Formats: sequence, structure tokens, C-alpha cells
Amino acid sequence: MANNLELSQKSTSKDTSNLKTLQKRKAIWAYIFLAPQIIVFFIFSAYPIVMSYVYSFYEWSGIGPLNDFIGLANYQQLLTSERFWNSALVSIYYILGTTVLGVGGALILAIILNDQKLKSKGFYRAIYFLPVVTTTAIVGIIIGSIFGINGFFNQLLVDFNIIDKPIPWLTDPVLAVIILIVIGSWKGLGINMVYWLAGLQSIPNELYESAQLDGAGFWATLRHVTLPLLKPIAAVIILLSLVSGINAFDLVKTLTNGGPNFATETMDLFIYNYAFSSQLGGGQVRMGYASAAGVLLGLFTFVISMVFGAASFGKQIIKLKGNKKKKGGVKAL
Amino acid sequence: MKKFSLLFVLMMTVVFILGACSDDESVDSENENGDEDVVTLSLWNRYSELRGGFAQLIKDFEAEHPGIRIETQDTPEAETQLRTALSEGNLPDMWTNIVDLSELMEVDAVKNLDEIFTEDVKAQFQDGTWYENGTTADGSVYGFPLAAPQSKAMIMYYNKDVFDMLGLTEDDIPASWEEFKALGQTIVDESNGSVYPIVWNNPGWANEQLVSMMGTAITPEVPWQENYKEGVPQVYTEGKIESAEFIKELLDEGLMSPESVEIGLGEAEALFAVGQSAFLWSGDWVGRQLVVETEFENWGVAPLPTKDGNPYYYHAGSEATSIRVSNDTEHWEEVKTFLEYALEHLHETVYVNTGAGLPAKEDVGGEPPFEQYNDILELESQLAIPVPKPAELNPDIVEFNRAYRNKLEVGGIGDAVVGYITGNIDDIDSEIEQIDHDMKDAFMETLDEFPEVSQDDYIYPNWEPFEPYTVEKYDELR
Repeated sequence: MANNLELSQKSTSKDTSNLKTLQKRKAIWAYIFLAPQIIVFFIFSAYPIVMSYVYSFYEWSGIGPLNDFIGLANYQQLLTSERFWNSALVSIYYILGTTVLGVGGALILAIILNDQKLKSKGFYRAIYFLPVVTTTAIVGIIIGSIFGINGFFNQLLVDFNIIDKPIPWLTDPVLAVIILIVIGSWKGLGINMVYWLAGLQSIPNELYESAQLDGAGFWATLRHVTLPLLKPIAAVIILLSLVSGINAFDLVKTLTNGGPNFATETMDLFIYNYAFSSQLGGGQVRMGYASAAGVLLGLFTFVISMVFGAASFGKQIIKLKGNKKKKGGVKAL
Repeated sequence: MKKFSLLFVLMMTVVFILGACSDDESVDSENENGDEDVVTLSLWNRYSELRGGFAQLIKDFEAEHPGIRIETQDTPEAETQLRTALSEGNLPDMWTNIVDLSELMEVDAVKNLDEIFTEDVKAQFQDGTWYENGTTADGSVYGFPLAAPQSKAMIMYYNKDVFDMLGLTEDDIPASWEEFKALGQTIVDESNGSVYPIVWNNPGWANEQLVSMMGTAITPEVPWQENYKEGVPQVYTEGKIESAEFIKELLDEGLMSPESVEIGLGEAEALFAVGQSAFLWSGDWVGRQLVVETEFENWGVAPLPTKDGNPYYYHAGSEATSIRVSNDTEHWEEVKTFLEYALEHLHETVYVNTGAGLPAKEDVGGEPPFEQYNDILELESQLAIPVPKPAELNPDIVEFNRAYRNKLEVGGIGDAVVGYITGNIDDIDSEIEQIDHDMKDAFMETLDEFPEVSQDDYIYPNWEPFEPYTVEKYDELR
């Protein structure tokens, strides 16, 4: 009996040891598979981020040693620069505009394309998704010729006697920003539509059936079933749209190049102009200054994400904590 | 077995990482065709008008030197591309000038070419070719000069097809703004609005050049952004303001193609070539572009119209158009062979034979491909006039200028002019006055930081507008 117990203990101890070895081996393999990604992350993401903080404290053209430490002077100059604040404002307009138009438009589109009765859904989905896979720079160039002074759109409006003379869509700063927002929204419409469709398809059909039995029409179902159940995914889609709105570089560069007189210059184009292309424009390349602007842009993104995250997920987290406490309370009872 | 697998995966990872970090050295020793003795040199070119000429030059060179191959690459984003290559330590063997020479010197990136450019060779080039922080540094040569310093002044191209169609002759070419407007109105009326008098373009630098050049006919003491009488930066001048107002008037009065505010140089050239405008304002290189790119040959050239028809000018040597050589080139002997060949043939092949501009070298042979080439040459030699270059007398000014320009929010007035023409700036006067004020403040602030530079370094009492500022004049002040 004692021997059996001893054997059983030995066997358990051996099993535990084998399990530990297996777990250890698994962990090693996990690290091996993760290693390339981690290395790439440190080289191409972490290192440049850290270095851009370092560069921002120097007057540096991007060439030669870092020997002109100027402390916070780049930040001071940026915060008093009218051009920088204008670019920040343009970026905010663009981010908000593309989020409202892009996310809202995509929701409407997704609801329509999620209708069971609609034929050729796949075709429409593919059509609306097409701009997502089109190169933004090419889109910018083509849209530039469509909305040019003598472009297709003005020609159309003149031909239909809607306007007398061509509208300067791309050289009027307000109109140019509107065009940027509309095109940016159109470009992101497809991907937002896919997100919304995923959300819509995760809603159980039974809920719609019971709503129908209760006599709810389309609008009532939308208001009381669809939209409330889309809330969690809506927060994610809006956050993604806000963050992607910060990267408008290729569209702005090819469509307006930030002009006229920097009126449509976004923050990322501002950074590019100072970091790379100032000499031909009569200025100087200032990598340190551009890095400081990059750091501020990073902080701006972080703040937007945090504020929005807190606003949209905060309630859910509090609710989750409340539920846990309640469950704990029941157990204690 | 498992240990072996683990070791194998680790080894592969190390090989992968090291492989990705290594340089591809084999390209130089063995080319794509497997010719082991052929050395391949790289040349990055940012001037589109030189493409055809370079291709011909390289073809001729390779035929004569079968052991050397030259691969050219166009660099539309030249500054970005060169700076990236520089930071990666992967410069091409040669490139056409971009990035300030002083910056390149600071990191020892550019090759000294004194071995090729002896005093005798240097004497074969136009006056004003050799200058500090352009083609030379501390008296040594660091750039193979391509275009003459007496170039890049804007001129007026006129479309002879349009002239013939409207019954106009060369006597009708306007010299003053008033004449231009009057003729412009005639062109619009006679063509029933199908032809605009002028097509212009929207890059800020082009607008700054135009108003600065037209402006010198009113305020000749400021050729660009400096006043050499008072020794201060100056962009707020009567000439520049009035010139900007004139351009806006043309647009507002329907005498300028409305597309002008949103197109670049190439599009403007194309519109001019197809007869949508009677005139085009641009640089000396456009002759070649019109003939080669748009296959339009029926045009002539004249000076830009100015306020009262008075002469205007441009500061010669505004840009050191040249070839720079990487200090890290592994094939200096082959590069030298190419540059020595280029010394004999480049200016003829790339400039004269293509009509791409005016060569830096004097007495170059060749056959211009269009008859207007000599007219352009003559105009440029009158309009591009050397003005003082303060760094010639005080080399510390190179560093000073960089520090001064770093303090500026905008490099010039070009974008403000574009903003004004497009109607986004109502008061161009106060806008340019503000830029001028900021420039002066930054200049004075930088003077305090650089005791080795003074305001006197920018004052040239022996300089008179329209008179070429020669080596002798510098010597008078030394």
C-alpha cells in the first residue's frame, strides 16, 4: 500500500516535471517565433521614436554629429509658430471631418448592404471597398484633375448652368479642406463599412425576429436593437478613424501640397517639409525642429486616443468592475 | 534532435538578421550581365532637362570606355533621397547638386576635385563659376560646374502660331505692364476668349523669382533678399509688392489663364505649346522642354514686361548647378576618368546640343537643336548679373547664414505671393512687411550669436545695381 502511494507520488512528481519542461520548451519556441518581430519593432519603431525625442533637443539638419544642444528651444519656437498651429488646426478639421463623414457614411452603407433582401451585395461591397486598395497618391493626382479650375467637375457645373464661372476648389483654403475631407472619407469608407458589417453580422437574428414580432418597424429596430448593440464596435471604429485621420500626408501632398500659402498644410506635411524638403523652397532642413513637431504630433495622437478611450470605454470598464463586485458579493453571501 | 532543431532555427535567425544588415558589394565587381571587369558608377540627376543630354553623354563615354558603366537615376525628391542616402552611408558615386555644400563638407561626404580642376582648367569656365559654398570651399573645388552662372533669369516666351493667328508681329511684344495689359485685352477679344495672354504656375519659388526680377526694375537695390547698400535682409520692396499686384490684376481681369494658380511649370509649358496662351514666363531651360517634350518649335523669346519697360535683372550664380562626387566612392579612378571625359564633352553634349541651358564652360562647340538658343543665350547674359556674395570675403558667413535661416518660419515671400494671387491674403503689403520684419529680427539676433560676422560684411559700397560684381571689386574691399 505504502509502495503504491510512493509510486503514485513519484509518478505525479514526474508528470509535474514533464509538464514544466513542456511549458518551458513552449515558452522558448514562443520567444523564438516572436524574436524577429521584436527585433524589427525595436529597430524600426522603438529606436526612431526614442531618437526623435533626442533630436528634438538639438539644432540638427539630419547630417553630421549632434553637437548643438538647444534644450527646449525647438518646442518654444513651435509653440509660438503660427504655421505650426495652423497645421494643427487643419489636422483637427481633417480628423473630425473624416471621422464624422467616413464613419457615419460607412454605417449607413453597411446597414443597406446588410439587408438580407438586397441582391448583388458582394458586388456593391467590392465596389465600395475598391478605394481602400487604391494608392492614395494616385487618388490625389486624379482628384486634382477632376476638381481643377478647368477640371471635369467645374465643366459639369458650368454645362448644367449651375455656376457661371469655375470654382477654385483646390486654391480656396476652405473648399480645399472640404475636398480633402470628402476624399479622405471616401477613401476610408470601404474599410469602415467592413468593420460595421462585422458588427452588424454579430447581432443575433433572433433579436430582430422578436423585435418584428413585437411590431417594431425599421427605425424602431435600428434605434432600440441595432445601434445599442453596435456601441462597443462603434467605439473601436471611431478610434481607428481618428487615429488614421492623423496620417493624411500622401493625400494632402498630392492634392494641394499644403497650399495655398500653407492653408491646407497638415501636421504630418509640416513635419515632412521641415525634415526633408526645405532647401528647394528657400528654407533650411531642420530635422531637430521637425522631430519636435513629430513628438508633439505623437502626444496629440496619444491624448486623442486617451480622451476618446476614456469617454467610450470608461463606462464599460466601470460597469465591468461593478459586475465583478456584485459577483464577489453573491459568492460571499 | 530537438536540440538540433532549436540550434538550426537560431542559426537561421542570426543568418537572416546579418544578411539583412550587409551591403551588396557584389554589384560593383560584377554587373548584371556577368561582365566581371566592368565597373558600375551611379549618377543621380535631379534636372529633368538634362536627362536626354546625360543619356547621350554616357552612351558616348561607355562606347569609349567599355570597362566603365554609368547608371543614372532620376531623383524627383532629390533632397529627401540624398539625405536618406547620406544617413544610411549609401551615397551614389555622383549626384547633381542638392544639399548645401557646407553641410556635406561638415561630414566629409564630398570629394575634393582639385586634382581635375587645376588653375588652367578653372580658367576655361565663365566668370562667377567658382564661388564659396557653391562650387568651392576654402578655395578648393567640390563641384563639377554644369550650367553657367549667367543663367536662370526669367524671360518671356511668345507663341508665334498665336501671333500669326491674331495678326500680331514682333513689334507688338510688350515691354511695359500697361502695354502687356493692352495687348492682352486685344488677344482675348480677337480670339473670342479662346487664348489667354499669359499662362503662369503656382510653385512658391517661381513666384518669388518672378516678383523679385520684375521688382528690380522698380527697386534695383534689392536683387533678391538682401540690400547690399544697407547690409540687411530685405524682401519688403515697392518693386516686389507692385509686381505681385500686377500678377493678381492679370488673373482678376481675365488676362491670365485661371489654371495658372494650380499648375506647375510642366503643365504651363504644355498649355503654351498647344496655343492656349500667347506668352509664357519661365527660365532658360524651357526652350529645350518646348522643342523636345512638347515638340513645339514656333516660338520666340523676349525680356519680361516691367512696370515702365525699364530693364530688370537676376542675381547670377543663384544656384551652383554641378556634379558632386561622394568621398566614399570606391571607384575614384573611374569617376575621375568620367569627369575628365565630361570636361571635354559634357557642356557641348548636355547643354548646347540639347539646348537645355547655358554651359558653364566657355567656348564650347556644338550645334543647338533650335535657332532660338542663341537668343536665349544673349538675353541671359544681359539679365543674369553677378552681385556680391558676402561669403567670398568672410567664409564664416556660410555658417552664419544657416543659423539665420533656421530662425525663419518661411524661406521667402513666394508662398505669400501665391496666397495673395489666389485670394487667400488680402493685404500683400502687410504680409510681406511682416516677413521682412521677421527676417531682419532673425538676422540681428544671429549677428549677436556670431561675433566673427558683422553687418558690415553685407555692405558693399562699391556695388551698383546692374553692374557685374567682379573679382576686382571684391579685391578692392579685401
